[in-house]
Amino acid sequence: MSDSMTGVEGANVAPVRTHDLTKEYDGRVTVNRVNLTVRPGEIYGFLGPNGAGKTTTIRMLLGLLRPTAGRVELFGQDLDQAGPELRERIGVMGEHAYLYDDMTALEYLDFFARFYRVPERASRCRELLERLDLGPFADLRARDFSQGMQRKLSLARAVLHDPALLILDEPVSGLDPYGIVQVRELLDERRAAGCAVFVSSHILSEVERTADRVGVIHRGRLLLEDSVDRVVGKLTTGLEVALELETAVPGLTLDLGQLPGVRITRDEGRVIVLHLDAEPTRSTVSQCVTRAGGVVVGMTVRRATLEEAFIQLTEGKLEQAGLVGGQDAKARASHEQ
Amino acid sequence: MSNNLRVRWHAVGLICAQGVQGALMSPGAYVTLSVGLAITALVLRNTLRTVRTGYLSVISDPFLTPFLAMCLLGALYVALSAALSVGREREMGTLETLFYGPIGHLDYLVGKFVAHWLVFLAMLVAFSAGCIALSAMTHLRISTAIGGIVGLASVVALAFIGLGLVAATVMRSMRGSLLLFMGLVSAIVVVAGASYILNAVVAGRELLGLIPLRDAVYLLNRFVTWLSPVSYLLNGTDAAVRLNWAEWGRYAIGSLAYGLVALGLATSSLRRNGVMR
Repeated sequence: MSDSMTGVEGANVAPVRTHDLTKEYDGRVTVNRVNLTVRPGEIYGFLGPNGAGKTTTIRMLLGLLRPTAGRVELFGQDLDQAGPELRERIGVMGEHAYLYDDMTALEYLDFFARFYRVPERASRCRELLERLDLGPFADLRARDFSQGMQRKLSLARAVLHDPALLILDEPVSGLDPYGIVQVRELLDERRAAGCAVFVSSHILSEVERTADRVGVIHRGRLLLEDSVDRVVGKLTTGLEVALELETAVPGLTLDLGQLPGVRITRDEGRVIVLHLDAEPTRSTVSQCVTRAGGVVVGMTVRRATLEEAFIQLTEGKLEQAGLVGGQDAKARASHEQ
Repeated sequence: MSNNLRVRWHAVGLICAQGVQGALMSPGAYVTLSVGLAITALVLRNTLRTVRTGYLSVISDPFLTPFLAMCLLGALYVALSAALSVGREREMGTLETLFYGPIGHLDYLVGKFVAHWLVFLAMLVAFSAGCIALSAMTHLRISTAIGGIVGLASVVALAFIGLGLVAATVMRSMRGSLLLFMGLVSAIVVVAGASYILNAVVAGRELLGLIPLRDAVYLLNRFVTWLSPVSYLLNGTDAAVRLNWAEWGRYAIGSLAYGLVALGLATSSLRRNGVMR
């Protein structure tokens, strides 16, 4: 594949940059002055609850929807002025697979390989089908594929021409655990090859594992854009510690609850789960247990997750808007996982 | 040639090849061709029967009506096929998938336009071969005017296909495209038919009360004539039969311009309505 196709020549140019991107439908703002940047060679997770404006943003990035205001730059070129050559550098896996159902998997990939002028297309198509465990189904019509197989075929189409930018909408939705691992490995490989990956997903644990940076959109506004660690750090405080005792100690939870920066989240007798505001309080907890005559046989420390940060962020915004209560927001966020 | 242009040509070629393959794999083209040949066989049988029974039959060309019927059927078929193929791609969502890649609105429609035109030409070649064989068997000659009709039909087909593409891009569903296209064709036929009937009735029975209506329908028909590819074909055929090649040329150029304007309208409509399902 040539350099111009892989986009190696523009190593420092942001593959995606939006400037005050806005979309209104019938006077209702669905995407509101979004400024996001995807850097070269990174996996960017684009998160948001249902109806937050993720798919609308993606469609504007692809030029399928015209923004009401603002603009999109891909590889430093204004999307409105970009020719089809630029599109050859982008691979897209949409929300739905949208396959030609009368074509076999191999015919489908071959058609798009010709479309994207992929060199040695026969071997490339076979290689991708084998890679995604679709080899034995190469001659099966797409309409006979399961949902997961259709998603994989759609992903194969997206990476067929070694694009410099991959835009994926819910790439692991409908996949079994093996499929999820395959997608993860494929994305890691693409990143290693210098490709920028823009992933919109509801599966936050997966985004947390793969993404370098995330952007959180809510009610059309980009609330935050940063590395996963910093987003989690900014939005959640402290640690969750599960204490396993040799035997239950009566009154211990009361003593622990009186310690500064400590909150009991669960008490199951031998196992007590605490939330600590800061790292140094762990030793204080340990001393408190010993003073009460308890013996700690195990201590598990768990960091806050992106999922929790996401819930805090979106819940906070919902509350600020005064539209729903905290429980509603939690239920909504957990439903979307 | 710039790389952008090369990419666009490549995409047009691919869409065109896919369109030709799709049309040739479906039974529609073969059914249309068979109907055309069946009409020809029927017309020739009647001509030969008339001659055999000893009646005097003065026909400038027995192949004129079959060729005209085939051109009309073939053009209607490719126009409908073009409209349905675009509508189907939109309904299936594959149109959106295509537009993720290196293709523009005009490139896509040019691919479809050329593909269906090639299918029409292939049908016309096959039909002409069948007619030549029938001519050899029956000793009924094919006149020079037929060449003119075939040439004109090749251009008028572009106007038909353009109209089909406009219907496909204006409507967002396959059914809507089909209904709009059929509605347009029906309206053209109804206005032309009404004008013809009113003219005959008023002239024959001297129904003076109908004269304002006749005049109104006549004016409407004059306007519709400009919009109807059918009238381009009929009037151009008439010119070819009279061997008036200058008039024939005007209809041919008019049809070509019609097709190109329709292609432009379809492109603008696709751009405005979007490619999403």
